[in-house]
Amino acid sequence: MIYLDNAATTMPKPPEVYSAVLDAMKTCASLGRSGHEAARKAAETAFSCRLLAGELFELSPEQVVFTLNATHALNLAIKTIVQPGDRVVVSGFEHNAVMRPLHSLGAQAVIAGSALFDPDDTLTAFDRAMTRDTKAVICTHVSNVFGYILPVEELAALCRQRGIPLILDAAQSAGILPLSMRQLQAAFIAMPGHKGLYGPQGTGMLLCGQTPATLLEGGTGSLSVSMEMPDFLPDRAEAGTHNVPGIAGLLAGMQYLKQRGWKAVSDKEGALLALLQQLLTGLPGVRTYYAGGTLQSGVLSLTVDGWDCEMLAEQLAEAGIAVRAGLHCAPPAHQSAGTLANGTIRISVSDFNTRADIESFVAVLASILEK
Amino acid sequence: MHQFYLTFRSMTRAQSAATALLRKGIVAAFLRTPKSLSAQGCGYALQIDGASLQTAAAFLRREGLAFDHAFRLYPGAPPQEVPL
Repeated sequence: MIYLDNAATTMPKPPEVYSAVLDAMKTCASLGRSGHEAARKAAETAFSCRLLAGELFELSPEQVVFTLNATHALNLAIKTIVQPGDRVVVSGFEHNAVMRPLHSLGAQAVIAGSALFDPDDTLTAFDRAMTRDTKAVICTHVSNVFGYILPVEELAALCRQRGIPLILDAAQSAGILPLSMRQLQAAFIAMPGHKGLYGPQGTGMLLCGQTPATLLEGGTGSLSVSMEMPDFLPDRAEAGTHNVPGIAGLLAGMQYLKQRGWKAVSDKEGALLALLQQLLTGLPGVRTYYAGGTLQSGVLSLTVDGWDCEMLAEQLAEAGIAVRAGLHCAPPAHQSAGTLANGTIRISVSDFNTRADIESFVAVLASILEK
Repeated sequence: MHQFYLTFRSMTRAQSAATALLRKGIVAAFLRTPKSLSAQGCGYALQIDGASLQTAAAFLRREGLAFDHAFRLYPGAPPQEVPL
């Protein structure tokens, strides 16, 4: 199989990730609950993971909360800041991990900026929409449908100027683009562990610029006499037994990235997308959504005249090519790009893809379209 | 032989403190807080050599890694809080 669905979850992972998960399952117990060797090893693993996350994203280890995925992290962040009826400004490229919690809360989600690959439009729209009664700004760093890199540094500066908390969805950027809590001073940054950070599925992190509310209450191995959840991080947001094998794998994934260097990953993915665009150009009926350079990261969407995207993806799957089709859980992004009715085929790369993968994909696509 | 303990409510804070102390050349053992020292239930502590106690306490405060209490513990005797 040629795997080009890395925006859903990266596959394969670095070999060290698999061995770290297995080793943790064999040797680690529950962290923070006991002083025996297996519990201590679990505690050391979790702390090493928080420490490395803190180093990579420039914050203290205590500000790193482990979650199930980015959706869990976003729910924690959103439900801390947003109250029913609040006005919240979001980009035109948000995922349902943002839109559904806002809907569930009965918040007023105001969409700002729908022009694809146009950071000036994005910033202008946010500037206009961020009124005095705006309670939060929520923005994806990179569109999971189109790979559009939104101008989050400038947006964060705007939020700081106006005193509006920023929640950043780094689902597609963590591990690929520079990301600093110290520089952004966001209220929260949510990220999966299993995409660009190369950890296992079922891992994520919430980087906390403030103390979150609780989504779950339960045992934390701290302040056990109190019936209230601890008021300190990370315990406040981590009730119950941790996913220690997942955390061990996430640590190994981040160690791989630290050694490899984010820029090397980003440059490689950019080169693969440029090759993809070059090879797709001229294929009859194929429309690509490509800007490249500093405007796009890791993901390229396309449509083909006369083809249902899901049926085309099925044929690609039968030929051993894994891509994702449809709306990618991000209807606002498709609304913005005019692809809501038919969806797109999304090709997403990782550090483990090769030029040969891209060439094979295009060859298979061309042969399907010729039939 | 008595031992000194710096206590923390948060395991991660205690781990951060142990890591910071090690960078400064002070070895502190990370462990669950002895039950006799933790009125609020489970907690974490750094067991530390008496000669390093004052230096460690001042360093942790400077680093923003505040501990909750410092105790001296003698086997078979009630714990004594150490004012630092």
